[in-house]
Amino acid sequence: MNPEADEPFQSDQEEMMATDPNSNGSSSSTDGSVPPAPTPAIATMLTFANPPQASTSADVATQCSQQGFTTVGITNVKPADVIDFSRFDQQSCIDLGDAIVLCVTSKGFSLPALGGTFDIMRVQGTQITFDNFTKAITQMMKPAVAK
Amino acid sequence: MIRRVLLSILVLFIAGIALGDDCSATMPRFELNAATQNPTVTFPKDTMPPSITTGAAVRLIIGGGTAIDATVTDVTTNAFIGGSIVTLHASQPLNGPIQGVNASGLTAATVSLLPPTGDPIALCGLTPLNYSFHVGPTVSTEPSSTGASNPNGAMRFQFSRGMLRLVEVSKDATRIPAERSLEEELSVSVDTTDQRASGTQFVDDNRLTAAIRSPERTFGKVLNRVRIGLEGQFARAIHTEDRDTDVKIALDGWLPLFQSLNLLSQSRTRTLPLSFQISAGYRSQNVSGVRSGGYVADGVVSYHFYLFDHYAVDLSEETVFNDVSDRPATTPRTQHSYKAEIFYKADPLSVFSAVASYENGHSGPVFTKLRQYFVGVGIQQLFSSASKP
Repeated sequence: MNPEADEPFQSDQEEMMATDPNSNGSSSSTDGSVPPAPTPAIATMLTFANPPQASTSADVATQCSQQGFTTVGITNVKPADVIDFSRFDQQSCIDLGDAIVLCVTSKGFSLPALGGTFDIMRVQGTQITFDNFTKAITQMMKPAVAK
Repeated sequence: MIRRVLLSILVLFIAGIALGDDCSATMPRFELNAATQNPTVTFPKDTMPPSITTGAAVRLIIGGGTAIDATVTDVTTNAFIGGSIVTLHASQPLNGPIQGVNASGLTAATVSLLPPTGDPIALCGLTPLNYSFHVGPTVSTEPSSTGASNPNGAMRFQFSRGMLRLVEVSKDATRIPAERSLEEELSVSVDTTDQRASGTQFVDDNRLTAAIRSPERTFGKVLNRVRIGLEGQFARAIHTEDRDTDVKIALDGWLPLFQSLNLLSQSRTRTLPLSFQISAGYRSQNVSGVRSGGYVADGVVSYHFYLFDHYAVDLSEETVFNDVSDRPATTPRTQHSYKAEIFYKADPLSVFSAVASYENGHSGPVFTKLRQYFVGVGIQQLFSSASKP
């Protein structure tokens, strides 16, 4: 096992999930009753105050990681696939990080720049499963702050 | 003796440039966030000073020039490698020309961060910034060793200055920066002495290089992140009329149709697909008054695949075409060279280490460090896989 690649993101996974912005917006009923249909006014508030986010932070991380790897030419990545960073070049690390950051930002989250992280992983020769890769992205994502 | 000393200095000089291109795993990285353009520093584990906290005032020193004030706006624990990713807000944009700054320094090597307390921290720059840089001493007057034919020695002059600039040609914010920007490069280097070269006794290597490269473009699943560039280089000796001019078109990228394969493996390891680099152009030479010229071309393909869950194989092939009219009789018009390297890792997520390599080409076959157990372990893996229900 490569401790550099696996250890850091095992600790506060639950904490990260608790900050999922979509968890607050869930309207599922727990007592079996049917929730009333929203009035036009309420529907308008839902549209503008709480923009619909069809996916959770974990879904966004998975989707954007897939898109990032497709950007650098690695297609159809499965959760159990091991990504070998030792055969990346520096520009591919930068492109992968930029693609993930742009994708995550477009879906209402923020993420620090990741090119440096992937470049260090390249030099270290890191191997990481795609599943663990997306968990690490999920941990570092934050809901975007409205300006 | 003099030649040996000068050669050593030249090797050190070139090595110094090359070392700037790749950074160690413990050196913090500097880049601009693709979405916000905020400067970002990635600190590997146990390298960030405790004084860097959210709200702290720091300074960025670009290429040894004037310090630029910045504030730490966010510190994120790095879930991949440990350490922290620090996002800054700079007092002036760093992705355009830096005003009022006499900035100089190698783009990829001399960005540094001055924390609230302590010494400046050298950063490895990943984002090219729009400023000029120089390599090595601006003017070096280093006396060379005294030889019998040269009782006074020779003064060596070295100068190198260049500019790497990204020119944004697309405002499409959904594209990564490398797909939005042209890359322009211009550099001048002088490496000579005050002595007229006699044979190869003194260095006299002076070059002007210019290049322009297109933004990266991807064409579906056929071509990935392709760049096309026009590169020119003019080299000449100051003490003689010898000169050498190269103009070439270069193309590089990846071919996603050729993904990395996993053979006889239970797990699947993924990495970049087959890559290619092609360049072709014209070379004009004037050596000791003899003019010659002709077409030159070079192509390299590289591919990686994985075997038996524990092995990685890197393959590369290079073809060099040289049709310059007065090339040496020992240099064929077309040369091929091949290289195969085998790497081993003990566990699925451990680091690969090299165990064997094989090269063949115009210099003949070279076979190094083959470990006998490679074939043995491979056969063992094959039988254990076949015997499983």
